[in-house]
Amino acid sequence: MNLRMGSNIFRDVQIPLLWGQRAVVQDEEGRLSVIDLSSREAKLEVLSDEPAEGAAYSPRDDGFVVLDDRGRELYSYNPRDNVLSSISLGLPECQVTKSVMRIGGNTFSGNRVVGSAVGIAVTETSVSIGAPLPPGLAKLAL
Amino acid sequence: MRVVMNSDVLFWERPPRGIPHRLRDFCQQSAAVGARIVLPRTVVLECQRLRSEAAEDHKTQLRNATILLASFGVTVPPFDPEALAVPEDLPDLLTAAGARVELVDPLLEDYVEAERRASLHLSPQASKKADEMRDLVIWALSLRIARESGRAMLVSRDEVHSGNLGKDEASTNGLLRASSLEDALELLGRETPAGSLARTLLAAVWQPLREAGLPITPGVVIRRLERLSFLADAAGHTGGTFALVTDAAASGSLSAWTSIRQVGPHRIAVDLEDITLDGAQWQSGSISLEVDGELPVRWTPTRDRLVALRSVIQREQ
Repeated sequence: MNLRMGSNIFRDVQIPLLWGQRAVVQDEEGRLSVIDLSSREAKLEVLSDEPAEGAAYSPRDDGFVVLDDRGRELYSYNPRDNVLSSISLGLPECQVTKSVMRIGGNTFSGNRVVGSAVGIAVTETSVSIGAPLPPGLAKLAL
Repeated sequence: MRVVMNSDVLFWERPPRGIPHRLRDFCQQSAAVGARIVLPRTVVLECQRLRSEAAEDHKTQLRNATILLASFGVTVPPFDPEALAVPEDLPDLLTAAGARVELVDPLLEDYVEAERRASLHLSPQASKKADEMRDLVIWALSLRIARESGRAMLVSRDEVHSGNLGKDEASTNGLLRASSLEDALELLGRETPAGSLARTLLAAVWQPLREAGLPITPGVVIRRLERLSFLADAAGHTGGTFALVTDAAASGSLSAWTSIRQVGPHRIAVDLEDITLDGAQWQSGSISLEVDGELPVRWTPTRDRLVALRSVIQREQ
């Protein structure tokens, strides 16, 4: 995959931004999609700034919250500011605008990541640029 | 109403400073209806630990920032990271956000009760493997506060607090349970975006449900909504599931687990299960209908959005 996200250039990567076990992809209009890769098949949760078909959600004043099958709140998404905020995933907040990518207190802008399976990998305790694909994730295919 | 808060609804994000927008909003809205936020001492101590860890991280970041700036020839006025990154106090933060806050120390009877439940693996402990005392102390404290006050609420996502095992005991003691801040606001009588959407869905099927014999009032009356969850379909319609409590036609209350969804271009399906009338099962306990109509279209059709995403993902695959 070759794309530009938050002014960062990703070339020949499989997943540009891996937020926990979720791929985050920005389209050319700056809208975000979030794909859960934790199961056997990839599952869309957020599609172009809106809840994906079949993904449980709850509306909020500033966007919506994605829920799991049991109604547990996983994370919120604010499409106006393109901000993903963990509720029960334990991950740092993530913002991807057209000009910048902010993860927790770290800001990424104008970087170039080439040939890594994962462009930027975010876990509960770390943020890495250029990382291998964690085992057990579904293929990012829709 | 006194509203007991568990730690998992207070620390879901790790903001650099302050509290998240949603919690700030909850503080203001709960105060507007006269509710008091009860913080068990165990929750305050847990928060204190997390805020102290965060403060240490902030000190390190401030020192590193100074070093980085200096390496680029940028000088900053002298400052003391120890003085700047002071751990924030949870009760102070909530009070500053507009909440009425009450700190409650668990009593010996709460600890004894929690110890008994943990050791004997009694309800509402969900797992036989876990002997977690802290959750049970909060449970015992919440039940006690509900008994003392006539009614109270526990806001917690924890399975021990929100699971089915504690349902009857909570009801008997007058303890309402909410697993999110939004559910809590609905229980406090504040209409949330989720509650508003659920009301819109119900309005589309209310009259047909009455005509099918469900004993509800002529107008849409909602007493309580809980565990709200919504789904978009391919065309962008929104359906939803939630626990509903409404007025019964004659008197009393009717409650049901409700599911409403679009099943065709102009057809809506509605299922009510576990229907109870004043606590007793109503007839067979369920009713299912299909009615003419269209649920609100809130989202762009999937196909249109998927095209843009696929073009990004498949460009090089």
